Amino acid sequence: MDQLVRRVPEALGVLYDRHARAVYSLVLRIAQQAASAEEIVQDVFLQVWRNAHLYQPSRGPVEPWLFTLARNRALDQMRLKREKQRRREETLESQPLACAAPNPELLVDRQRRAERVRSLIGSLPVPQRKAIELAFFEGMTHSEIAKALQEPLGTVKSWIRTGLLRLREALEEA
Amino acid sequence: MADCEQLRQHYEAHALGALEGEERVELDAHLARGCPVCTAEMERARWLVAQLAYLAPEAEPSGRLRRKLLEAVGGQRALERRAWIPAWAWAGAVALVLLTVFSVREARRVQGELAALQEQVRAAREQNRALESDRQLYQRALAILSAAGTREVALKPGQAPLPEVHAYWNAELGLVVSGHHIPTPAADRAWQLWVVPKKGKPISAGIFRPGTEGQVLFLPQLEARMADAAALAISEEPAAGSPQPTTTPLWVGPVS
Ligand SMILES: [Zn+2]
Repeated sequence: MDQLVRRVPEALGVLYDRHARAVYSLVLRIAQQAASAEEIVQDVFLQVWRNAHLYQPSRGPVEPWLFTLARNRALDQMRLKREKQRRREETLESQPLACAAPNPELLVDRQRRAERVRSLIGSLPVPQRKAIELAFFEGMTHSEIAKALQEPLGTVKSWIRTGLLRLREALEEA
Repeated sequence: MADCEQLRQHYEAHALGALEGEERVELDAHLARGCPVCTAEMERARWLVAQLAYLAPEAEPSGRLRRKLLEAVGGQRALERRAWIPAWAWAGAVALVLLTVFSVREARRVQGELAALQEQVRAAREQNRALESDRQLYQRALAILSAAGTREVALKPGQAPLPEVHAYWNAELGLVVSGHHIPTPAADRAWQLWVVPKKGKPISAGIFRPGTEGQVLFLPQLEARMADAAALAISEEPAAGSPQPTTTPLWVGPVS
């Protein structure tokens, strides 16, 4: 990170090699298309390059922050696309005929952490898992999820909260 | 008024972006007042939510992406050296220079503004000192950068060999100005940030000085409405700031 702050291009290469797969996987899951996913990933790493001086290792690991940045950029892109699509459809219709890291990060390495996330969320009842995935990957709010799953709002809220609290417990186990 | 105990049930949903309506407004307002308990807990929640990224099926980006990225970075460095400015930015700069030509009557009015501005600057400095004592400044900057809906403004330098400055604007979280290798102005001078509205005169967004290694991290207290902004500009001004730009801006960037 220090070399990144001094703007050594090779340092960006190192950061990329360490995190690009995970960031790309996340963005592709949201964007669904390889071409737009690659554009978003490139933008994410450029942002890191430009703002490297904001990071200090003592302020916590970079990966969760990269994930947050990548997820929000990807969801922003999708919203923009949907908006455009909606407007296109409207015009057609109008025509006739027409991040502080807690201790677990230090205790549990990345591979084990990834496995625990998959197995814990995988062990949840399907609708509960679906609710968390709709929020995370589709950027839906509580009421949007309730509507999509045709479940009461209160149920959706508690599914999401208890699911995430169980995930925290699983990650905090040594 | 809600207290931390009531709000804790919303941390995870808020980090996830699922919280909405009154619940969200309440938690945001509470966080904006700087509650240390909830701020720390929100950081933990954001970390937790970020771990959900591992649910995505593993995929491999093409080798081309890595090359393109490193090329873009190399190209950016070349651009920083070449220092390029688009035609519209010159037009903006010229407009600003015209605005700095004052009539005598206006100069008197400006005197009053200047006094008010100095008071503002003093207050902002005190506020900054309080912020700097904490990690809050960095946390806020990182939060703005990574938030949903954040837009980037690239401020291009009008002169070689200045590097680009980047600003990030989020309607809810505010503005952050970020730069590397920015030269330090003389001791009695400072950089001043301007919000240039679509109509009317530039509005000061405060003054800043780069750190020892030329790093800039500036979170202005915005008086101007960014929604009405056509551009951001940075000019060199006296250390206490000016009510209106007195020099040609060195950096200008359009707000799209
Ligand atoms: Zn609180």
